[in-house]
Amino acid sequence: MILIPILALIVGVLLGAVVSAQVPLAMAPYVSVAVLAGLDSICGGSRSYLEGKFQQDIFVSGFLFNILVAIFFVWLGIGIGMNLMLAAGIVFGMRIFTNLSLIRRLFLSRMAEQRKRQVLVRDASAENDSPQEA
Amino acid sequence: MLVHLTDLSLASNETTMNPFAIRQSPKGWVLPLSILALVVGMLGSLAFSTEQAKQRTAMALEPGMRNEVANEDLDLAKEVAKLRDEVGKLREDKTKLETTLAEAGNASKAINDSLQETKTFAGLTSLKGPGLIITLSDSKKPPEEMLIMDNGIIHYLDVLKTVNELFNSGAEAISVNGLRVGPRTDFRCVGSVILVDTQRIAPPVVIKAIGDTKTLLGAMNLPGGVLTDLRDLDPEMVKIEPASEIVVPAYEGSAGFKFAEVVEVPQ
Repeated sequence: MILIPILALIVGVLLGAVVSAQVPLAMAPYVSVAVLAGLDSICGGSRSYLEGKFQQDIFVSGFLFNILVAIFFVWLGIGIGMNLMLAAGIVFGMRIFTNLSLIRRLFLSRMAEQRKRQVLVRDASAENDSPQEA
Repeated sequence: MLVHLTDLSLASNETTMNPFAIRQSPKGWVLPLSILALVVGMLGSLAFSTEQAKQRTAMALEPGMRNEVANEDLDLAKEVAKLRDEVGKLREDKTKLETTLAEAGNASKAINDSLQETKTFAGLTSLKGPGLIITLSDSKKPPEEMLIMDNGIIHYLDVLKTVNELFNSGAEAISVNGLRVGPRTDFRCVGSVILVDTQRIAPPVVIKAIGDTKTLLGAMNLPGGVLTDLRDLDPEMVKIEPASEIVVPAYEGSAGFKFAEVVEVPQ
């Protein structure tokens, strides 16, 4: 299940490469910020799924709102001659890092949990078997 | 024992569940996440190719392509060539007329001689003589090897500096890619091509100079001279060959005056 979004990401990249259209240069900063926001949303979504609290409305609204704010930042930055794109880039970058590290922790703890459970089950079955043998 | 097991699984279930979890969306997470991943992936690769294209245009075109760019608008180039031929023919006719005029009387012969001399000096006649043929071509090294990417291409300044140095060392007539360097000739940079007056040229740039071959060679090979930078980058970029007879064509640019007037010398 977790592989499907990853697969979709790869398909999307290939699709973009195949289409080989180019974003107009004036739009390029907006698109790159949108891509960052999207990546952030993907990481956040995966994390909340692993935490067991994925909500579609929060996911979609968060993505749209983040993109809008980021695009507004870029627009404002171009308007006032200050590279606010960096601000969006840094924030999204940090969030992606945080989300990825949380995903990693969740995965690791889940794996540890599973291993512990297997050990417990084996012990329990061993305990179960021993009286019969005796 | 069975009871014990179920207890255990319940306990572990509770530990995996996040304590802050309120609700998991019933509609599932795979679809929205996948759609977003698809869109973001596509946007990302589009933005990536745009960025690459930007770099590509910033970088100079490949040597082969540059010639194509220089040779585009072939119709226009043909027309220009036709007009240039016409200019050359008309100037030749003029010379002939002047000569016949001079032949009519001895008095006007002196005038014609001085006129021809002036025309020669102004570059309105073809000239031949010994000299150098200098070929400046773009480096074939990949741009990544250069410290600055467009170092490996011939810029108008290289041409300008070379021509200037040739004049400085006594060259009497110079042509650049078959275009005579006249009194008003300018060199300009237009994108990836060089403008000599109004004519577009592209590397390899062939500079022919008539003059004392030894002096010219010395000037071109001067340590720290105009070609040193190019040679340091890539020795292949500069090729110099002496020739015993070089033909330099006549200047074909405009020769009219709109603003300047001759100052009358008081007799």
